[in-house]
Amino acid sequence: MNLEVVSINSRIKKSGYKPVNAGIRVFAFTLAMSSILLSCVLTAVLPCAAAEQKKQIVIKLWEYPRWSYGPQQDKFGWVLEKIAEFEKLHPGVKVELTKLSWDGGVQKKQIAIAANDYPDVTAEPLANMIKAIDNSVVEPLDEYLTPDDLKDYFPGAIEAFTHKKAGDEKFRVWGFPWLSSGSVLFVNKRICAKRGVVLPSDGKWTYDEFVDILKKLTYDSNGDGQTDVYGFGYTIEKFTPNVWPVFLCDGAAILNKEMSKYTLNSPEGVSGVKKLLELDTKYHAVVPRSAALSSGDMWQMFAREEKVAVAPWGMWAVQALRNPKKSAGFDFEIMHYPTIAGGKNITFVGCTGFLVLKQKDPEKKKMCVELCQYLTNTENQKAVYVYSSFPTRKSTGNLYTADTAMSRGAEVVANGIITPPHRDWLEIDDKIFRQLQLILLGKVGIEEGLSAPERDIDATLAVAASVKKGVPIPVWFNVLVALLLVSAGAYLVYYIIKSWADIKRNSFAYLLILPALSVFFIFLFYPLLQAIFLVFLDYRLAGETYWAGLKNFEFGVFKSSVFWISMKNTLVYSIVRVPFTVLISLVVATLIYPLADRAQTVFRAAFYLPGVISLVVMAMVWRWLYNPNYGLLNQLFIKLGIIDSQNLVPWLTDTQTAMVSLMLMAVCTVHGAGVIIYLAAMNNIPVSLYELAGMEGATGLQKWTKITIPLLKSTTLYLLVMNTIASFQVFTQVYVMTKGGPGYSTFMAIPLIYFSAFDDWEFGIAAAQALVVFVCIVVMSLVQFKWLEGKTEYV
Amino acid sequence: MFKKSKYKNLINYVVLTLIGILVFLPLYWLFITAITPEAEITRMPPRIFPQHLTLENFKRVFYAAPISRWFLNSLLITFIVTLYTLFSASMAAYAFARKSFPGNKFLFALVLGSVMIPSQIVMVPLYLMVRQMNLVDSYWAVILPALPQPFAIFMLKQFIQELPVDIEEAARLDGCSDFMIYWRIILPLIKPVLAALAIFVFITEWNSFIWPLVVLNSPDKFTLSVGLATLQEQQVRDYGLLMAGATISAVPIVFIFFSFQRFLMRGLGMGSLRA
Repeated sequence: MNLEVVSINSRIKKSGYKPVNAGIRVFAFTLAMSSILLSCVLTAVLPCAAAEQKKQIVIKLWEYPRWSYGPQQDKFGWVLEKIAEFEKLHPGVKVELTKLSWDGGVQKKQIAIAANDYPDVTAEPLANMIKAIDNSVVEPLDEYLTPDDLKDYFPGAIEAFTHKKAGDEKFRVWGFPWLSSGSVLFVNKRICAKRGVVLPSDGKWTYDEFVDILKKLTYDSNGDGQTDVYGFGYTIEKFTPNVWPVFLCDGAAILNKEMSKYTLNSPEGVSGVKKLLELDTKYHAVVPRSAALSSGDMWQMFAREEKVAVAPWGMWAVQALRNPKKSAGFDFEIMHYPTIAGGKNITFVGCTGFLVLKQKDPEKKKMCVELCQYLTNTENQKAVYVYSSFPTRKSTGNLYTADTAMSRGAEVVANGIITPPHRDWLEIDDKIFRQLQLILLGKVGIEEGLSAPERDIDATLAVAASVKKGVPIPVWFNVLVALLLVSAGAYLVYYIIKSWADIKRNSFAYLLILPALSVFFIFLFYPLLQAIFLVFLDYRLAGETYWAGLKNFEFGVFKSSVFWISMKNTLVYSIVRVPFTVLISLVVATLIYPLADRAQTVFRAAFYLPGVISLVVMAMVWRWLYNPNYGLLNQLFIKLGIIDSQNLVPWLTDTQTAMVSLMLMAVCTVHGAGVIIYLAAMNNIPVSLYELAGMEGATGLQKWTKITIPLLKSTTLYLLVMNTIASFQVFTQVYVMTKGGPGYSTFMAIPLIYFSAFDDWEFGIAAAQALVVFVCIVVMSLVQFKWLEGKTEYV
Repeated sequence: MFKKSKYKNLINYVVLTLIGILVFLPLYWLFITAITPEAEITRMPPRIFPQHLTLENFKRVFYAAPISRWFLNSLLITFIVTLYTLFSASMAAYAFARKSFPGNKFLFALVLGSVMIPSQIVMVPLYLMVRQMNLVDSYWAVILPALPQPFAIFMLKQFIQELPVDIEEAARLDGCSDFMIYWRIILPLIKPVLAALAIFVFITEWNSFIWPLVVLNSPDKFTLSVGLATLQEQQVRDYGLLMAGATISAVPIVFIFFSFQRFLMRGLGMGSLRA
């Protein structure tokens, strides 16, 4: 050893290196880095300041991709064209379009609104904007709607944008209705022809007729003795009440008229759900585990494979079914939802409109309103037919006179009702759809399932009804916070003074940590502190924060059964995933280590590359692989004879297997980074140790257990801790693959926080939940540290 | 002895290949789908190899959007973040591992603790801060919040901790300054981990989606992941487009990976410890 060290020193000396004052070098280094950083920040800030000098009205419009338009088939093509037209009509006005994506678009908007940095104009259905309206972020538009206007709009359209803001006495209109759409039943006429089924000519059927036809449409198409075409297929998903009209046919309502009580568990509700359930359990006319399938799965079965004869979809399906790239191109018919004798035809409709968000400048506000009116005027509404949606103005005329499907659709949609326009509807919908899944999968009885969320929903409704104004933050809290900060600061000063000698001696070390810790404190720690304070606050908007005391803990943690379920699920998931993942990384690294360099390269790449693809995409890939009917995994199993096509593995579609599927995915995506880190650490173990042991008669296995593993302790600790943290923070897979379902079986900690923050818009509750999760992670990490950390010395 | 080692390695190859196939399966499906014509993608039963190969998905991606612009945006942002992280984290890790300065344990605990924070909760305050700095819809809005990489400091510290102290002590005895120790001794010794870290940070930042989505508004500033998302429509997922986009997105990472591979190789930089 000594010989080698000496040779290094002589090498360094030979290179002519002179030990210059280290401090200066490091100082220069950090100075360079910080000045680069600073100049970048400045160059970003200055141009913005300059831009504000122009005297133009700039309207920020945020829109989603709609239909393919123009020679470029640009999904923003139509709105871009309209913007150009509008700018020409109004010189001096510029409209800046921000292109949203359907993935994450709503969340982006929520964050922007919460931070007071919202766009000027945007297109949304009312349900997505109710909380914003209640927080005075949206401009009321009654004064801009003339009596002629009001007559021109279909009554349902105006109703869809009418809302009584919290604390307000009147109902007002909050958006310019644009296009509307609704759910209808689509029927594959090709299958009907094959089975000799004639549909009622008026598009209406009673429940009994419905059952009859569905039974006829369920059959074995390829003669292998197993039913493979089903009469009915549907999905139960977040914010998608496509199939709800079927079980509301007995006259049940989700909430009562005043929206003060949950009423789905009424006798009518129970019998209605029973009807839907019996389509499967009694008449066997429904795709197995339909309630757990995703709309992507169902589309595959209905539109591409023609394995489902009748399915509910939004009107957008008309365009998709006519697109040879998206469907098998069969003839289809649109039908009303089944009714009982004397019952009403209903369906759910939704209306998207353009809203104007709060403006300070009256001139700009006028322009924003004009923009909205321009985009939704009679002539421009004609474009919505491409989107197979309905215009909201009567004057636009019937775009579908020649189109029987669309005309029938219009008929069905005319009977539409809207989902309860309650500000917490998204939260309520979440509870309902999960129970429906459990009921329809046979995991829980109908009455039990329908009554399960009653308490929570009623509580939510009660809270919403009573909340008028926020409670101002008590003075003592601010004082306490100030005291805390001051005392922390004082302690810091005291500590610095006490250890001044030590500090001076180690001044170089502080320079070393400066680049990393400075960005850490500014961009991580400081926002974190602010987020922690959210725990006690009722955060509505930037600048509008109210006091919540311990209520966030009460509602979000202690009284929330969902919270405990998610913690349990996360724990179970981690306990399986973490040890397996680290173990497999170790085993793989051990296998790779002794190989020739080129082979090492190949295998290292092979194990690392799958991790290179964005997790979102990988989750989508895996979800497709897990598809029970068409996924690669089940098809492979069938080919290998492990299962047959009647006993398919449900993977993500059953409460018992969903969690296992997620764990399997985590374990099978071998942690490539872990392999590489282990390999790098193994490289640090001197070969001499192995040779010495070999000479003393140690076997390969002994070498592994007595030399390799102990010397990898630090690395193992690191990987265990990191994997635990990663496992507790699992989000993307759950969000993309199961959304926490079926039921609550894969509901985990971070999805819960995410839903609390961005779907329910309860930032205070999300903060409280995040705090508890954080504490759990810290505890687990500490336990692992204590268990494994020890000084590792070389022999 | 030769026979024994050959035999042992054979098992290695076999097992690794089997596991490798399993691990590679999703990736394989991804690439194949990218070059499958749309009509064939979802046809059943799934085939190992599609009947027709096509580049139309890639053409559609390039045609529909300023891909090259998004690509460059991602490249710039990711490059800066990775470079800064490599240097700042290694410096800090060296200090934490080797220097006992007042506050060492406390600051490290802070760093470690921050890894465990769910990022969703920090989003709103962070956005507010970015807005106050007038940086919304700029590259810096994406870069700056991505600079703190606490786990990088953690990982490097663990690694540096493992290195034998003898070399540094000897170098110090010889008059090596602290910075030189960092620059000439530590850095070369941790090259493998640094390479692993570089790859990891690059990938994480390249694929980062939520934050750039939230903070960028101008389409010409979009990163690749955000831009590709705007090509998807609401209802029917366009798998061909999606996978083609994912493939394009993966290309530079694969490139980075193979370039940095050699640093992960056994033997490089380890010379000082070998017999």
